[in-house]
Amino acid sequence: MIDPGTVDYGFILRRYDIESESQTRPETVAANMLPKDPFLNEIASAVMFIRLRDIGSAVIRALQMGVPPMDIISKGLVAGMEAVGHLYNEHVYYLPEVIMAAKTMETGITLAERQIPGGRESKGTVVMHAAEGDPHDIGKNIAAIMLRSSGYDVIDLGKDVPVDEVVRIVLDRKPMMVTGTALMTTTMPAFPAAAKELHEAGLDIPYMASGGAVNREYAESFDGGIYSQKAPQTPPIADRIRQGHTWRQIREEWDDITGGL
Amino acid sequence: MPHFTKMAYAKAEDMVFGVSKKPLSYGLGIKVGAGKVIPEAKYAPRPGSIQSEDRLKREFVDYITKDIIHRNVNLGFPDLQLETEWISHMGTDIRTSQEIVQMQKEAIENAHGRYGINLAIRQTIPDLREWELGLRPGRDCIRFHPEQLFECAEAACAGGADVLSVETLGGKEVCDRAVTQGDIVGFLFGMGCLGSMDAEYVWKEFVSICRRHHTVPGGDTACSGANTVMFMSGGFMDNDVQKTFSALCRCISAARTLVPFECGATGPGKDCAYEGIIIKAITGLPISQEGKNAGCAHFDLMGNLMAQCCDLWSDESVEYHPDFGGSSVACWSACLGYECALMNTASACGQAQVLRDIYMLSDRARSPESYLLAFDNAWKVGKAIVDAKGSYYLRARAAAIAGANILLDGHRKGEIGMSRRQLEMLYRMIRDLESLPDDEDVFMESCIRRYSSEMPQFDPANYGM
Amino acid sequence: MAYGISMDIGTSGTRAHAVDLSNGRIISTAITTCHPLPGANIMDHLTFCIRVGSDLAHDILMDTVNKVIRNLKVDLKQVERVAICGNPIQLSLFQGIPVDDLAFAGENAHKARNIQAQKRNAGVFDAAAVGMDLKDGTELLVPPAIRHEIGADALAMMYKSGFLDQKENCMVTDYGTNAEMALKVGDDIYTGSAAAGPAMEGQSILHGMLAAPGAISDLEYNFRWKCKVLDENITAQDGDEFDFGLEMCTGEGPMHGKAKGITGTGVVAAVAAVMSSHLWRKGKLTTSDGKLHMQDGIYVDSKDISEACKAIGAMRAGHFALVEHAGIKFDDLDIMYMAGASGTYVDAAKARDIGLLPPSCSTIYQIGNTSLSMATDLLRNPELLDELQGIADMIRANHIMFASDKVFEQIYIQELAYWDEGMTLEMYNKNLARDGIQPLPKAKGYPTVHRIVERDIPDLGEYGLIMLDDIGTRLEGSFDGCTGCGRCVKECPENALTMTSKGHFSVETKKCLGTACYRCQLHCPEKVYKYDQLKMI
Repeated sequence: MIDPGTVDYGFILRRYDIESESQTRPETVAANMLPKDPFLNEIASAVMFIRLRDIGSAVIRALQMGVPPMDIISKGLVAGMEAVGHLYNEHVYYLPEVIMAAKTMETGITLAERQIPGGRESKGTVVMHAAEGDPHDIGKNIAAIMLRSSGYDVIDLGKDVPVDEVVRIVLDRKPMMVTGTALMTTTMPAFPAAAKELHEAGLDIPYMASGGAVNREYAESFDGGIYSQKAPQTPPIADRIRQGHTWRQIREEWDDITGGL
Repeated sequence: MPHFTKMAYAKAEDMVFGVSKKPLSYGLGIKVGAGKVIPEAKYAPRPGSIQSEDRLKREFVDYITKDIIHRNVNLGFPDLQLETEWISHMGTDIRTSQEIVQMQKEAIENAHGRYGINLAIRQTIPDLREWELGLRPGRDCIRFHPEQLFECAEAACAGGADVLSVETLGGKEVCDRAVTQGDIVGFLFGMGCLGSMDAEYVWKEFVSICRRHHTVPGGDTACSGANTVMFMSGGFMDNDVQKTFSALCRCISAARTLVPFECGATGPGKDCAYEGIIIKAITGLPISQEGKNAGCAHFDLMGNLMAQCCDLWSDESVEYHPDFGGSSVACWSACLGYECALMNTASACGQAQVLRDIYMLSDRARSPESYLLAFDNAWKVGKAIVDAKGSYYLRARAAAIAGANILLDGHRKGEIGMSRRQLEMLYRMIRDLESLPDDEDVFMESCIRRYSSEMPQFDPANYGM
Repeated sequence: MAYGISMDIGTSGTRAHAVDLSNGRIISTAITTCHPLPGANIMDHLTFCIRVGSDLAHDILMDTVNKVIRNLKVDLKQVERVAICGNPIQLSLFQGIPVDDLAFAGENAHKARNIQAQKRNAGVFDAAAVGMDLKDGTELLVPPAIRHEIGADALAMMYKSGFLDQKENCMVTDYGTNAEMALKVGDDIYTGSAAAGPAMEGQSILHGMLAAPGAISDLEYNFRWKCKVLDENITAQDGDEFDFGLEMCTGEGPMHGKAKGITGTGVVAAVAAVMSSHLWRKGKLTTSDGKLHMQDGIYVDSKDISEACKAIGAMRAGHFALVEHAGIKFDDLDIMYMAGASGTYVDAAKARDIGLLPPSCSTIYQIGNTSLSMATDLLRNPELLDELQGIADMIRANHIMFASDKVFEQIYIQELAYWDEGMTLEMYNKNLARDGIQPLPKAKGYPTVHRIVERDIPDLGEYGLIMLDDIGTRLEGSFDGCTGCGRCVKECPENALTMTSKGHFSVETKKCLGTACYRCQLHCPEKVYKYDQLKMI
């Protein structure tokens, strides 16, 4: 008999059944990651399946049924968004879907937040801006959506933001990280300037520099500076900072954190 | 135009299924002649479906295309080529045809994206030209079939065909008559000369259309002549057309089917006239072949043998209808897939040559035609064609004489049995062929004179003469 | 004998003609294949101005300009008139006008720096006064910008292409690092500028190079893909042939063994081949080693294709946004003019297949370098200057700032997902439909391509083309506290920096990557290396 071990079955057939099992499907992700509670499940599903029209009524129904607004946010809306993030990492969802899902989530958060006296707690706050003199903020907008969808609060200062304003707001709000985006090389010296002022004011805060003009070397050339090459890398970096890693550690771990993204 | 004057394969033994000297890649991950035999599913809509555009589209796309793809995914076949042989109706309603091509392309793109199955689609357009009206553009002012032929090619390519094929029918008027009269010289003139000249005319244009649209020019097959004569020679209960006659017709057809590849077609060649093995031996290009799995549409005495050196393995004109095991197209394509799996397993185990020989031996002695198409003999016919190095006439004649000698020799050695009438026909053909002049012009002139008088409507201008 | 000089100051090189003013004939042509300022794009040049100084930038540019005109083989004492054209940044550098209004965008930045927007109207100046080595009083004709953001180069591409006279809807694009584009619908003109990046010019590509002997400049489809390699006369000749799907070479050509790199047009062809062969999936090449191998060890990898795709995405989003703002359907747009060297040499059909021009365009004109040709027109007929100012004033240009345009952003996000993540066109269109944006159709049929010029500079004159490879501009200096350790020299990735004697440094400006790099300064262990203290010698 021919030894079966010598036969390359990949040459002859394809096990589409096994392949499809290993492929991530939205339905299985929904079953595994979304909450079981019917009201929260409806909310999370609306986010995950990007049903912008249903999210309002789902949140209101849950509020009426007495689900705590904090739970609606963290166990419903954010859980749905985490599932979206998973599907994105598995190449099932694409960037435009992540953005649409994030909009859906934010609509829900706005509704639920009103019912929380004193506002809600988040994983942390990030201040974001595009440099003074730079009108290019598409990358920053995408990164902001990804951070929000990972459960962070974002204070988005917009574009063409003066250094003084960045410094003032960061000192006032004490975020866990500040990010600056520049597509024009003329404008990026704003980042070391702002970082220097912040550090002189005693705030040893990670200052993420990103955008087409910035490379990793430049971003790491000033105290506090860390780099993000593209938007999907930003949330995992934020997660590390949240775990207490300093900007020096982030630089060391950068390849590891962003590997594959 | 360069002619093949050398064999791509130095010896017959080097040929095997699934591997060709000049492999090709196209479509959505399809690699032909690069190691694996790939199934090629061919199908036909039910006759009633041409009643409306929508029904025809649904029949081709929603029923046929999707059924076949799903069956192949269900059975775990990694590669699949589809072939739409346009029904004649599609040759005149070109707009609808192009939509069908586009929709089929979308269907395979979606399936490739969803399941990862490698797919490609061949579009074989119909040659509706009528020799009585005229074969070249500008000559048929009643139905405009020649113009439509080229429009069909353009539409198929623009619609997204991965491979373009056609079965041109140049010389058919002479061949049909020759077959009924047992006239090998007539077949030589009709297929070997007129058929070659027409194929050259059509394929020069097709190749440039294909190049523009990045479609693979797959090639032609002498279906209207060589397949017809094989069908008429039939089996052991049939005696109207002798199988030795049919066998030499195939040799002549091979010389004619070489022409598209000399015009720039790259293969994979088409299957219907069973001359592909000779083409592969000469050109080294991948070929599609059919045999036992095409039983629903063809009758042949070499159902296993034909698989010996194929690169695509094909069924034929499976009419869509429900069967116990699912739709007919799904069931027949399953047979193809399993046969390919068998061949590819043989390759994976290093046993391809063994299986090739078993396929071949199981039919080698079944009929003179099978004997001639066994890869060792087919290679010799190919060698005679390239050695003739010259005109369409001389190489077609050389092919026929070589085939006759192989049969005679095989009979002498007791390898192939022949009936008395088959032998008589063989001797007569040898005598006829050997008495022909060596000068092509002399031959052509006498044939033109003869057929012009016997067939008043025969017009050499159809062939640019 | 009275001569004139016309010049196009481009981001990737300067081109000039000497013209006999008595009959308007072109006598000679001189070009450089690079810009003397450090860096590869206008942003780098602007940054140099801001960080190191506009005066020095002007001096460096004029040094090159003077070297170029000295090579024109005419007696410069007999030059009576000069006409120039180029983008607003290069023209400002040339004239010594402040560029800070171009270096920063946004009110905050302008207010903070007290920046005044420059007018950049047409004018007649003194060529000697701006620093050209010509006799005093030599006329310098400068064509107008249409508006602040739309420069004389954009006017040139509209004026010289026939775009302005075209009655049908039409589009024109100057294919460069920054792609200037304009769409005309009736009397309305919509303009934009897409930051395409340097990939289309063969830069930021691993084996990328400029058009020179040994460059793969195209892949010709003949059922397989045949490399076209430039020979000693910069003419494309047959190289080796490949089946990329099978990852094998299927035949050798006469240029076998002679390829050294790939040009921008070659990169376009590689992208077309990759797409046609379905070898791009989820932002990666699906070949066994993730590379597309061409002859002689030259290949493009996933990163190269990705860079090119980004450029294509930016251009397609730009074109798309203009079409949307104009309120027309793609089906209403058939005519496209392609300007610039890349726009002239690229295979227009392939360019359309991959998305460098709108898929509906089936009448395509490749029109060459319109900047130089408009400058030459101006030289021959100075009265044209008023006419051009008139046209510039008349053009009702709606400039779309892509950076802050929501339609562009929406489309650009789809482009990112399409190229990088493998999103299908079907989903691309579905997502756009949600925002009421029309679908992007597939390219249909085969376009009619009118190659109006054989070369980007069609008439070289009787003395032909003179190429200046060595511009030879250097910045030098030494720094207090420098130990002469040589770390900066070692760090320089382009070997632009040398230590001429202990503690004394010299930078070859055209090689230097400028502000995009700054490794010399960043890596100085004593923190004393200061790029902006270097001086031109």
